[in-house]
Amino acid sequence: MSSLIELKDIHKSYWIGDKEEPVLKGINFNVEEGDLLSIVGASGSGKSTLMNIIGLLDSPTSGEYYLNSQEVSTLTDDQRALTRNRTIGFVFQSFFLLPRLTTLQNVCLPHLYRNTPAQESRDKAMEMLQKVSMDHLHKNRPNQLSGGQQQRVAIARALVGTPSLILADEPTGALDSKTGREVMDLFIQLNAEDRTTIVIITHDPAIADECKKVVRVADGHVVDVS
Amino acid sequence: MENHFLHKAGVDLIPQIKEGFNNLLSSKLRSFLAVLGIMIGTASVVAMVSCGQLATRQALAQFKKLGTDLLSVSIYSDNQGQEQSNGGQAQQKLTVKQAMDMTTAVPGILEVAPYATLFNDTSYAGKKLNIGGIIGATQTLQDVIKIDITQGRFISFLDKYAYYCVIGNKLAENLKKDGLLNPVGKQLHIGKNFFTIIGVAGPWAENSFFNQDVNNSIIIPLSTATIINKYADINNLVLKLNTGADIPNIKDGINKYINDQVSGKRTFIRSAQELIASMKNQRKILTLLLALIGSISLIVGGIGVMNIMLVSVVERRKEIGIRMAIGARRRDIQSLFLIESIALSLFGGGLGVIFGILTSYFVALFSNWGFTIFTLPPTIGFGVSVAIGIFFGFYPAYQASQLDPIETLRSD
Ligand SMILES: Nc1ncnc2c1ncn2[C@@H]1O[C@H](COP(=O)(O)OP(=O)(O)OP(=O)(O)O)[C@@H](O)[C@H]1O
Ligand SMILES: [Mg+2]
Repeated sequence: MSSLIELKDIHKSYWIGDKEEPVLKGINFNVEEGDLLSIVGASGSGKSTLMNIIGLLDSPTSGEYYLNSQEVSTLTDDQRALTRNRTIGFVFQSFFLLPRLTTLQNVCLPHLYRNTPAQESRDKAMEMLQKVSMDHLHKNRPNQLSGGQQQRVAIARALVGTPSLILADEPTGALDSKTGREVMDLFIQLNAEDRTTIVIITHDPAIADECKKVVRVADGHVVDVS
Repeated sequence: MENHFLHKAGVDLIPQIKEGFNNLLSSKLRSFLAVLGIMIGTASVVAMVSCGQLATRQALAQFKKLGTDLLSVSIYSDNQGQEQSNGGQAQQKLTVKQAMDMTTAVPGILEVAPYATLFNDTSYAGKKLNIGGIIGATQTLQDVIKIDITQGRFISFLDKYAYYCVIGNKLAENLKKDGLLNPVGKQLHIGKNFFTIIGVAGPWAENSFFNQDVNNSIIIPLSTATIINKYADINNLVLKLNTGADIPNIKDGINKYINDQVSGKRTFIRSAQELIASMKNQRKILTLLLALIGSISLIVGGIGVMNIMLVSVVERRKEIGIRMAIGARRRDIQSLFLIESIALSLFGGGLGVIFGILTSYFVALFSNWGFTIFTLPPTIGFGVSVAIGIFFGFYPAYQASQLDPIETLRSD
């Protein structure tokens, strides 16, 4: 069976003025379906850059990226958006909930871009809020929630479209160790129960230890996969 | 890859519209100001075009009341030509009979009302009267320019050279102030002669086919006028035509007839229909001009909407990035902002139509015009405001849709 994600010699450079600044210098690794994988590395080593490429928010300068055996550079803008909507769920360090919307409305968003009927999308959102134990606060706005609660809502939003891949960039980075622990437990549970593939970027060795696979990045290269 | 690329139906509009309204409500003051701008612009377009149309209709109504079958003829002496050909001989004048015979000589004419204007000092009981003028007229004038008689009777052909007169409404009122409550039968001193008042005219609406103000005038028999004042020439005629008469043909006929009767004269002929046509045309230009002036304020309102949307795009950069990460396509982002600017314009346009109609109502009220709601101005006002919303909302929305998701997510 082919891998969910195959990265082949991915390069990414930024241009500062006319000076090329390479960030990723040939990344190679695979992510299998059902993986719980963490990417670790020093600050500035290019982890977020790599995640943005995997999440189709950014494109590599060169190299091949196969998602579900499809080379993504051939996708149009709309197809990339559709893939982000259906195949990928993002979880960010600072949650990124829309401040004007309620918890429930935030979780409904992915279905807004799928033409799901309003009632059905609300039902699915409530179901997901239940799963992350946030259904009792569905009318609250993000600023009425704690950081841990906001991250749970963000996870519900990432999950509501039943994506095959969750990408989490330092999901516990803004949380204290106890709530960070709870969020991590949630990921482990989701991975175990639904076999959702999860890629977590983290600085925390304790979190990396709990993942089935760890990819170490240093200076734009993958230095170790364990 | 999954076949979900196959169904790429657009995003359902209703939840998007709901979202748009939520966003607008969350920045109430700003939305209010944008709505206000569009509202004022739309109101000014609607009010100005409505007033233009009301004024046009008012002016046309005066004509219609008068009848659209009128023709006015002015006769001028062709001075230079006259002196050379006639060698200082006395000028020929059109006689009353010649004027009246025009009905038989030129087909298509129903009635002829020739008249002469003259000025003589006039007094009542030794007190000088302030009059607009003296009109020498025939019986036909009453019907042709529609003069109501409130007391007594109008001039008649049977009066011939009699020293009778009919006084205008305002003149009668002035005499009433001087204590003359029942003027019929009383005498006015006009020039060297005494004229007996035989009738009083009701209020008369001015019209452009008759160059005197009947309300302030004294009307005497035309034949009498020609003998009491040697300068009283029949220089003007008002003609009533058969309905559907061929106007160019009649004009030619009149010219020919007058030139046959008296030499060295030029005529100037205007028909009600020509006048209405040219007036309508002028009014159309005026209304268009008013609409243009109104549109300028609407454009200013549109720029207000654009400004607000541009600020909103900058403020919501992060939101745009988040939506893109969640799967919004560029066109979804674009419609998100476009819906907001259209909603602002629709709302402003709707209010503007109401205010514009109200404004034209008050203008009509204070100008004593009849009031109706025309369909054209609200349609134009509303349509243009929506077009403005789309036009000025497009650029900010397009800009939003072209943002780079990573950069927006990085921003704070
Ligand atoms: N838009 C950009 N323009 C120029 N340089 C950039 C840009 N984005 C990232 N970089 C550079 O790329 C490098 C990698 O950035 P990245 O955010 O991927 O690091 P990271 O591994 O996620 O770090 P951290 O652990 O602190 O989040 C950094 O040196 C950064 O300065
Ligand atoms: Mg990072």
